[in-house]
Amino acid sequence: MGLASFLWDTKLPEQTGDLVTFGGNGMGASTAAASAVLSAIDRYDRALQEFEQLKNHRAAPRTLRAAEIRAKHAFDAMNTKLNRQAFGYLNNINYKMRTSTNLTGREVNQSIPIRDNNDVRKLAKLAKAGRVLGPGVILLDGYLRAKHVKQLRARNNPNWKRERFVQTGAFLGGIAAGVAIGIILAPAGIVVALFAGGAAGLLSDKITQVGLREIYDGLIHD
Amino acid sequence: MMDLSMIDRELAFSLVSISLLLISLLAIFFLRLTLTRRLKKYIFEHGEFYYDSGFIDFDIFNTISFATVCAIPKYKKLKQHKYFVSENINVRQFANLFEIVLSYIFLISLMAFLLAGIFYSVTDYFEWIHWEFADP
Repeated sequence: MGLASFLWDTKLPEQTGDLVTFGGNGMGASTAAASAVLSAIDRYDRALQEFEQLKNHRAAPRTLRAAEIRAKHAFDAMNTKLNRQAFGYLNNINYKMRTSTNLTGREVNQSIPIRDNNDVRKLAKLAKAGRVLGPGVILLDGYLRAKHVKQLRARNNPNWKRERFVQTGAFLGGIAAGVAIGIILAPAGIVVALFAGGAAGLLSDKITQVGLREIYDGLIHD
Repeated sequence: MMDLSMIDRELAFSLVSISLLLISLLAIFFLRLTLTRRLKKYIFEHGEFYYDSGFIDFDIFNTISFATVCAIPKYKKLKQHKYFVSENINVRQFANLFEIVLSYIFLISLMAFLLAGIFYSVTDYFEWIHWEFADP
């Protein structure tokens, strides 16, 4: 009975909605970082493979030089990005080429495969989860709002049109403010950006709901 | 038609706060059409680094970063700016006066909007306390 009264008193759906707004808006901004790091690594890997192939097939020196410059640029971009994200494993591992002998006995250059690195695999997992989680949580937020409006309509609540207007605006306003603050505060790190963006999204959601309700009652309705 | 006598204090507060959010969004939209467009063209001609997010956000993320750089020059020293665009490009020098003003409008209106939210939350909390613990 105590649990029942506790559950009766708490507003669980509202808390869930707030939590989802908080999570989705922060995550949308901060998970782009992980996928960008992965794309930089991938670009460098591909540039290195291209250079290696050209060298092994004895391409013209000019082509080789262009490929080398491209690989160098990709390496620099990747390096700055990894340093920025404070992944310190560049100190331990040499990302240059190694020479080995192939089946015909000729010496060839071979790039050290980056995708086998343990840290990169972890990063890939984070990026994959973020790619699904960020938009997924925002979608869940929208679904909860839509369900709220649908329930109001099913119960013949006269406020359902107002709630439709309010929830649509609050959804968009929350995303906008959350993403903006998340991007502005991103140098402080992914976690800080997530929390600040989530808090800004939640705050924006609240103030937009209140404001749109007032505006609907005062100006649009009747 | 709209009757001005209907506008009370709360409605005016709501109109101001919502319009602050809309103003900041509009500023970002115009910056996307002017500053980011020119910067992108310049960067691709000179082969510099540019974070291209594709059609997920239509370069809105980059635009927010550029607007922050234009409004707060010290932001360029932070690591995050280098993540969106190469260090060789000075975004604030690249922008003209109109774009710098737009970026100030974006930041100030966004901050004012969030401040309005904090103000509203605090007053709402005290109002709740007032009604909860009022003498019968």
